[in-house]
Amino acid sequence: MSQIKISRRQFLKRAGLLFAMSQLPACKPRPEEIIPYVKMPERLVPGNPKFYATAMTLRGIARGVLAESHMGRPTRLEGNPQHPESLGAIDPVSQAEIYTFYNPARSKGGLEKGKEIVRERQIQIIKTLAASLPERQGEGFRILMESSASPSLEAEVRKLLRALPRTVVHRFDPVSRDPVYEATARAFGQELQPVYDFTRPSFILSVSGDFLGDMPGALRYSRDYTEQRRRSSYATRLYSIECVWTLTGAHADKRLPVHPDQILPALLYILYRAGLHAEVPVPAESALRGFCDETAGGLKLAGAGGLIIAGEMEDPALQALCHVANSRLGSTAVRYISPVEVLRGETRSINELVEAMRDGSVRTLLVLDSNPVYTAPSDLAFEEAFLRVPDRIHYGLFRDETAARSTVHLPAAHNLEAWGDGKAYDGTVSIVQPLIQPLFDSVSPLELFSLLNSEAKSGYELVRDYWRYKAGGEFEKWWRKSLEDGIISGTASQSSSAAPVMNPDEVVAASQAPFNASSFTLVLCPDHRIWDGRYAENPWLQELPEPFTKLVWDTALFMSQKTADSLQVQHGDQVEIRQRGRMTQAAVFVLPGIADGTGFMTLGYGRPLLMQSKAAPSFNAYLLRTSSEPWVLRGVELAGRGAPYEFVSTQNHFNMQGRDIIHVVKGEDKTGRRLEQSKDPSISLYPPQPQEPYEWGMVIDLSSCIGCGSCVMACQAENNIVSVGKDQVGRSREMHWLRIASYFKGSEQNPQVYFQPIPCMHCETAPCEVVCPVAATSHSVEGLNEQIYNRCVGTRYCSNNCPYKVRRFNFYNYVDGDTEILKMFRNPDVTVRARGVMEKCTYCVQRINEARIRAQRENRRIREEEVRTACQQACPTGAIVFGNIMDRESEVAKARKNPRNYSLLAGLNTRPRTTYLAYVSPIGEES
Amino acid sequence: MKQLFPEGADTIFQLVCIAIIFGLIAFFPVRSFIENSSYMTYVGVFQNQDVPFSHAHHVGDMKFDCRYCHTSAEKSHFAGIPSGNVCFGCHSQLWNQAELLAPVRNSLETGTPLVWWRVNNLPDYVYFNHSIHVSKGMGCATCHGRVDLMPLTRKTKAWHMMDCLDCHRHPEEFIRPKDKVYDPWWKPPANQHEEGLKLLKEYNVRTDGILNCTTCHR
Repeated sequence: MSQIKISRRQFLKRAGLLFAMSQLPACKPRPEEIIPYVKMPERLVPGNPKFYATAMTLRGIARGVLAESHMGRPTRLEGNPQHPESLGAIDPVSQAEIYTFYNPARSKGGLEKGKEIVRERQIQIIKTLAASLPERQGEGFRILMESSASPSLEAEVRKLLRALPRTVVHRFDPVSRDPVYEATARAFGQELQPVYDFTRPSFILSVSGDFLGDMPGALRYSRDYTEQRRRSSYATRLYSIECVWTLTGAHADKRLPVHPDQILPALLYILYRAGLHAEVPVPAESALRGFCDETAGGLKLAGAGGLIIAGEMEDPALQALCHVANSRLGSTAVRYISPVEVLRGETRSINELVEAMRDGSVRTLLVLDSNPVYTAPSDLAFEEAFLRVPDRIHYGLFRDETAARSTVHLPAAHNLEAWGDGKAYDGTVSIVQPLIQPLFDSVSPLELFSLLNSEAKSGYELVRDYWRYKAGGEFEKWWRKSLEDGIISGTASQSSSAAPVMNPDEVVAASQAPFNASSFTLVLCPDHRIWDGRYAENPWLQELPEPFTKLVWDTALFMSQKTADSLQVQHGDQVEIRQRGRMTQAAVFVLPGIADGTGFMTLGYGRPLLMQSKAAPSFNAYLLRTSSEPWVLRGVELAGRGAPYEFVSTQNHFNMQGRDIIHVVKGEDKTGRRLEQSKDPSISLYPPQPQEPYEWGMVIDLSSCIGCGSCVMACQAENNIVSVGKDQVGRSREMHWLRIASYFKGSEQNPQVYFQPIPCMHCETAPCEVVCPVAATSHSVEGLNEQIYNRCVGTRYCSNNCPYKVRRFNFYNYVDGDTEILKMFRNPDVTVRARGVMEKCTYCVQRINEARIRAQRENRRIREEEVRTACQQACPTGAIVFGNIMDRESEVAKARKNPRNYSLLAGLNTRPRTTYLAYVSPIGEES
Repeated sequence: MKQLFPEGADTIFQLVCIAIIFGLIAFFPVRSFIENSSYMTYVGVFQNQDVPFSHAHHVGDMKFDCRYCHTSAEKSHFAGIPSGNVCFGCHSQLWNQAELLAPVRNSLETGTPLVWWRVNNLPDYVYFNHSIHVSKGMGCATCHGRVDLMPLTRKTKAWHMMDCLDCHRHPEEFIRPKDKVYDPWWKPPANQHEEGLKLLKEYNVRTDGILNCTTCHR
């Protein structure tokens, strides 16, 4: 063979050319597959979404939702208008459940001694266990579960306990509602649960009672409260006394931060001044005394229209006192029902479980959908005792810390793939219906118990069998209606007529201990987003900014400047927190409005075993928590100032610097203080906006916004917005189209806080449009500021020119296009954006287009209720109104005529289509 | 002294200049030619399918209505691809042993769906809605061509943005009476412009808003 003479250089040239040419056919589009059904389901219209009523559970309590399904894939959750708590609204956590369902970090199969096992083996393990139990009547078998409000699960557990009388079920919730029941047991002699009616009271005193935030029923409470406030022309008053920030405190007419040990004396003094019980000492501090006197006066005046609402984590004595006081006031705003949680009587505490594990009497422990290795009180040394149990079975959605210490792990089924049921805050039952076959090899809790009962019925049969017995009559019809409505009508609990049996003077006598605020007190509270840590694997919730600090992916040790000074620490200092030999790390975050001598941390962060790749190390407050002191830790010491910690927050400046970003007025007929106004709004270089039959606009009522973040989450779910991770947010690259800005105003000790949701303003004279070199952002005849991704080349000029900073740029390919499972739940009506393009709020143009097409097909005008943006739909308080401003009868047109209506940064003459209604603060200062 | 440039340097330089100028002039037409060639666009290219379904036979000879198989054209953005049981509505009786239909029978027996290759495909950032077009008097054949003459289905338009804009700018040139929407044999009348304007008014077609970017891109 003759040798080919070719230089190295020549070879590289030709090889390069060959390679380039081999790529050429890639320029040609390839045909795509299209796959029809084998047999199309009846009444399905391919391409049109279907909605199914089901329920999501938080703290075991059900919240009714409608799940949107595209061709059999659940894609989004929204509120169920028929559900008594939701009334169409939804909270951030329930919305994020859709991500939990498809979470790539979810457990995809069973584990036995660290090895993957198939479904058959999982079933076999449970069956073997079930077969071995009856021999010794279940001796040595224990179950650890969280509170649940599922009647059919109760029936299954009861059946198990009847067959195996020596089996013990333990109940442990990191955020327990036991104090609520202890309090009612003290006040009324029986366990009852208060249910409030916020359409009635004219004066509310909240004692850390976060009825706008984390209380079961909060969605309904927020709606009723804000609606009543609007209806009464802002005559209702909300006073709040608390040690940390709650959403309720933030929205109160008057709020006073006090040390946790001062709350009970203050409450006693208020009640004494209101004439509700015997005399108590007068608080020494004048601010506190003034607040108490004012509150007492309000309560006295309101009489039956008064309401005192205590936080669910507060001391039972304090809560009981509030119940008695409400009863003495004759308050019409509260009624009592029997506990919605089931199995309260049949279960024992985690302390007893740990004792039993330690003395070796537990042979098999089934941990049901909880993570005690991480969440159990640190004084119990749960992990050590747990490892003594020979057979440790963990059943849960994630392979968490407890799964890692178990001999067997079984994957749990999510509510979207399992049958079940659950009670709402008022006892109304919802059937949980699945939308899809289980994604992984999982069984539902009901099916698990059925297997333990050696029955092996399906979840569907179990739920139907349970309710067939209850329903009576024509079951099929009843069943269909219950599924369709998402609630079982007539299941709301009856009010109890129990009268108070407690004498409040007992509490008075017991609370004479002098208040000593010399040492530092640490208050723990559940996190607004990841709750007790169970949602830590959910990047949507991790990246939802904390309402007050806008912190993401993190918690901190929050304290006031004065406390920080007295402890000689600074914002950002990493410290060791020590109490009675226990220790954890945290970084100091200086936040105004926290009681002096107090700091707080939220639970759920710093989990040692997190699959979530975007997570960063954080601080674990559980390490300090004990079973006797779950919430308030006294005598805490700080030590060891470490390297400064960099907090990642989506807002870096919380002061308005005297600008009128948020208008505050005294009455609803007032206009705000207009500092920033365009000199002559009629002059503009822009062409006039055409007047079409539809011109879209949005009005946000700052008085109704409680800052819960539901709108942010709704926007994220609707518009395929990605979470980018802590590192990217740290570079200001968060992608949320809608942000809630928070501003503090007033004194450092006790400021007023305002929340302001900021979507795209859709300016009529939009500064972003004129600077785009490729016309990727333009104006529609209906007033939308359009962003066209396929046209965008990523110059970012528009973002630089936007005075509201609402545009978001894809610095990287943030969308995970490789993980198959994440492709399943993206909204097919919204483009998934790639790297290098700008994006922003579109006013949910896909919904406008859908509604227009529907209306045009039927040759009619678009009805007002047909177009609702995702944020508007999710908002529990109705703070966001959207619609056609050309229709004089529409809500949005009326709101724009409200004297309180103002534009943000009006001086720029951008003529925003999104406007705000000034915050009404009848007893505050106008500004 | 030796000359710096060889003798033909001037000629070469002139030729290179001319080549660059002509190259620049030719670039756009050539690019456009390639882009619009059926090699790139697949226009007029018959797409082989597992089941060689003939629209020519079903629509042309048998006079099937489009909606018999594409059931959701009036209700959804997606016109729908018939599931196997739609085929077997007739073919359980007719040609039920035909070799050509083996994949359909197979699919129904095993429960594995048929796989078709898309003929008309729009990019993912374009949101086309069938239902609004057919309900406002846009005929299937306007975009899909005379499927009644296609033994195997092929594209008749390249689906560049211009193909959409032509009609969105001048819908009166393409609109037809509603009862002729599913009629592949309909021919525009001589006075289509006047008739079209009349129909636009009658059907209440939105003419200015359909040129907004967000009509199709969102």
